[in-house]
Amino acid sequence: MYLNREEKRMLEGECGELIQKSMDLLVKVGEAYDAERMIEVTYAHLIAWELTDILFELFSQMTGNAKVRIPTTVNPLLFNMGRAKELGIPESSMTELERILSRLIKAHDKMGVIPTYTCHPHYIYELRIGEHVALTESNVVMFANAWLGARSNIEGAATAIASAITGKTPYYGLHLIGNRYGKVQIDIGRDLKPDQFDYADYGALAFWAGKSLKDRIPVYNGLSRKMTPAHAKYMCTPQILHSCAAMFHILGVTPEAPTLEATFGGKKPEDRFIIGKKQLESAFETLCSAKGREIDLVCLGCPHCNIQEIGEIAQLLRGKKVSRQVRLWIGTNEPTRILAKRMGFIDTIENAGGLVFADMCAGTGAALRMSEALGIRTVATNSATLAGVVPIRARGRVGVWFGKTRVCIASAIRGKWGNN
Amino acid sequence: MEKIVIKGRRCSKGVAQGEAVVSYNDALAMGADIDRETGLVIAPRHELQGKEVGGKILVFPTGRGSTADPWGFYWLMKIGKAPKAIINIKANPTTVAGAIISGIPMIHELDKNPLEVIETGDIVCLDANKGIVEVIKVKKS
Repeated sequence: MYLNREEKRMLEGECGELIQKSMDLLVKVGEAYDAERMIEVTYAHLIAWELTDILFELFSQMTGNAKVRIPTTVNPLLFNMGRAKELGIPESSMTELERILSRLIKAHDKMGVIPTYTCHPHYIYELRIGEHVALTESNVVMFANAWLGARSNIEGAATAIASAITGKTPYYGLHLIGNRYGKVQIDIGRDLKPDQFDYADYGALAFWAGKSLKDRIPVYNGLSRKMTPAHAKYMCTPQILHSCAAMFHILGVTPEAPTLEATFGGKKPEDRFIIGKKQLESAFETLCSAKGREIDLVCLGCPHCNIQEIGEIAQLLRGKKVSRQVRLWIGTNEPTRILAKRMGFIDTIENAGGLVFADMCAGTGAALRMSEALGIRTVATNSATLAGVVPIRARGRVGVWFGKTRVCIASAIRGKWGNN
Repeated sequence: MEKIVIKGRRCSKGVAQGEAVVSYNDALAMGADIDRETGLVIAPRHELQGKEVGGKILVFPTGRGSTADPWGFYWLMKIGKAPKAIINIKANPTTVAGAIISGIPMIHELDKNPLEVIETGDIVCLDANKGIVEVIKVKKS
């Protein structure tokens, strides 16, 4: 691999041991992919996953006193400890959680990380088309690649840190335009109404598609040209549950998909599938893993909601009350929560019995991690991400009802899963 | 005993020797799919569900799972339940990063599809530095 003078100096330890270790890791990953050289990255996103003592030790070894060289945002924390009581975290767990989470927050502050604590930092930090970046968190990577036309590989936790510290990444994978073309065409069936798709529909679609992709990038043909970035957000992680393609195209919508020919790089699709009503319904069914209709938690905002989504949820809850046996948690980032407060949405949602949490991972984080202590056995959600991940992470302890947003809210009010 | 040699690209350096455990169809997450206490594969409906990966030469098509996977992999290594080495058809970068920080040898992009050469139970000698995998076929009775 070719290294320029600066990179060689970094690798040889002339910029200090921490940069040397980071550069070493990046070069090794690059060699695994036969990267011809390193490139600069101008933004990174880190995860803030639970770091037990052993993992925090490793994290500290990698980061030390280093400051990030490039703007770097960070994923949600497991819990928002400032609101531990509202979450229902047992007293017995609080001290330990405080210890783990506050040392992580301090470490990020010391590094100069922008404390976004959100899984959709794109609301807060903007990217350019073609910008080379180093992102963790599958939905962050995929949204950046697919919707924003920026370029990132799926960075593991360690390589994102290394890139944040060095400002470099190996030139392989999705940084190369030749690797960004579509390979599989997914046609939206004529018996579907994409103009009326809910966030759940987009997620189920991506979940279904992901099963047939392996590492091939899909091109969706027939989605609504009025679809929003929030809609696209729900398509990200579900695609990657069964495949490893960290990119997708939506014909006529996403920046690298102006025409079928351009999107496929002038080649014919390797495969072509139609997803119609039957397939979509089947995806919805597969994503439901719960047994009984009683629900304990309705979880929305996976990934974090934008202000529009919070407004929609508030509208559905106006004048209504969430059932007493049900928790309703909505995840978002702190700036959006502040806006939602200004617009009266928080009051409406809280009056109905719901809670809007910032800075934390409500679904795959808090709810699953504390499911036993919080008595959460059944979760309802409009997130195909959460629905897809629960069976893997919760190992049968927690079941999911997956459906459209309005069905989730109606179920929160009834206390039982079902259409109103 | 039949011996087959295949060559590939190093993902993570080192040498290892041991018994192969093969997943032919299912991708594997070194973090999320493996129980952090028992070292057994706990992914539901996975080809390797219930199997132990610790101390084995683990062969599977590619990695999957969250970007926190390298931490999970490192954790497995720390508790002594990590595989001795990993062989993929084409590696997922999160698995590669995990293997490197854990010091577990790993190879991919071999000149023959490893899933067509290696069967569970075969003895595999792997030199990731040189990119060489030697497979000693164990005769099945």
